[in-house]
Amino acid sequence: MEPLILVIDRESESAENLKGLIEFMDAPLVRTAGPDDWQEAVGGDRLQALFIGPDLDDAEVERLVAAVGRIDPNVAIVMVKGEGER
Amino acid sequence: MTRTPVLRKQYPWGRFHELDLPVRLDALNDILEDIQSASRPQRRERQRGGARLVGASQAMQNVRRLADQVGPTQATVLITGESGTGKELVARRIHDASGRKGPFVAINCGAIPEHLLESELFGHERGAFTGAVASRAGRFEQADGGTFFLDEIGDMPQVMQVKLLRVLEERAVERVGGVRSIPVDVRLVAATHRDLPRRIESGAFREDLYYRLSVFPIEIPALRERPEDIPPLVEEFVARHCLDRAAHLSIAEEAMRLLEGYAWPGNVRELQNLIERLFVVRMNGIVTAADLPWPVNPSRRPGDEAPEVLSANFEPAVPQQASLPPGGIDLKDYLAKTEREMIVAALEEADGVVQHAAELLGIGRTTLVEKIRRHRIRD
Repeated sequence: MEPLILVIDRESESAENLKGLIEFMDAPLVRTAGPDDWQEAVGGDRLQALFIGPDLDDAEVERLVAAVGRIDPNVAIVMVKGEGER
Repeated sequence: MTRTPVLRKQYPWGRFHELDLPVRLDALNDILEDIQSASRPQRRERQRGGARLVGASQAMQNVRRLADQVGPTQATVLITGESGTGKELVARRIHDASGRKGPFVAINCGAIPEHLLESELFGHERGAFTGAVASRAGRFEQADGGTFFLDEIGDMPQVMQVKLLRVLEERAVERVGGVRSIPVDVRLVAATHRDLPRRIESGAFREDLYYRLSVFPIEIPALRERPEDIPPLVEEFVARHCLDRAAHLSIAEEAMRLLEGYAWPGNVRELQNLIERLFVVRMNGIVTAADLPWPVNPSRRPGDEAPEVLSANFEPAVPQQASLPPGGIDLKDYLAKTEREMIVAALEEADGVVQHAAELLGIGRTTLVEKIRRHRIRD
């Protein structure tokens, strides 16, 4: 089973753009989802990494990280930082 | 302020990365490689049984004999040898000969960030730190009843060397945040390409740990020291690829002689990579000396290759006999066009797989990705 990379963002267009770039780097299985439906997007696949878009608020991010840790604490979390964000 | 430091504090077990917008492909590539290398031990475990210790030389016969002799004992083994010599294969052979029922678990000490290594090796308890929402067994516990292979032990941070030494002495681990000792029945095999005595001298490696690990040392000689192993290795790799790809490839005698005469600084792994590349350019055919790249074929020089043979050392052809047109040329523009054409050709040859195309061009994947972006090849 190929490991899954999931891109979560409120803006589906920016999530799709990032998904395209990750696929371009030969990642075999990449999906996009919103902050509320990401668990359905994972389905039965093994989650390898989560890319979290800059539009999610702190509470959403914290909720996501905690939930992912419950599934598998080894999942990598990639925080995507908006332009100008330090 | 960015959220990541806050998250790291809240969830110290987390594997956090940051990616800036607009996305730079080299930064994205670095992150993806980190993610992949962190999950490599599991992949290695799944690949078990895929390879054999091939070689007819006296040196490799000795390595196989030593591995089979030490296998059924409890002795800790230290495998040394240059990169690409097959240290993990020897570790697997030791495990196979051990009769131990537990799994073979491998970890690359050099590939895991220092701050994650302790939790990775020893596990952690739920609530050990903010965000440790679930208890997790470390690799030592996972290897209980089996063999634990610590690759690149020479790169292990000193603070972890102390903790490893304690586990070897007590035969028990304590999870991060835990209060009880968990007994583990683990056979330890370590490996390194580094000169550990020299690292001891420089203070980078603990002498007491070295003596604990090197109870039974096995050294794998470099491929250049056992050229008689090259034909059977080539046969093994060719047979394996033929099976995987449902293809046929054979190596002409003159080509085999060149393969035997090359020094192979990257050892067996370099030889394996070349065979794989030859399958790309010569699927269903005979590999002749003309197909072999420089420096494997010393009569070649970068720039005089047949255009269809893209080698690791191929350089875009500026014709050797070319004459400068009247009025000169824009060299930068000329080279850029040539580079673009070669990249397009390599991508076509590799069916669009960037990694394969990079190998055909003899450059790194990150470099190729940058060039693809710069030349707008996939726009």
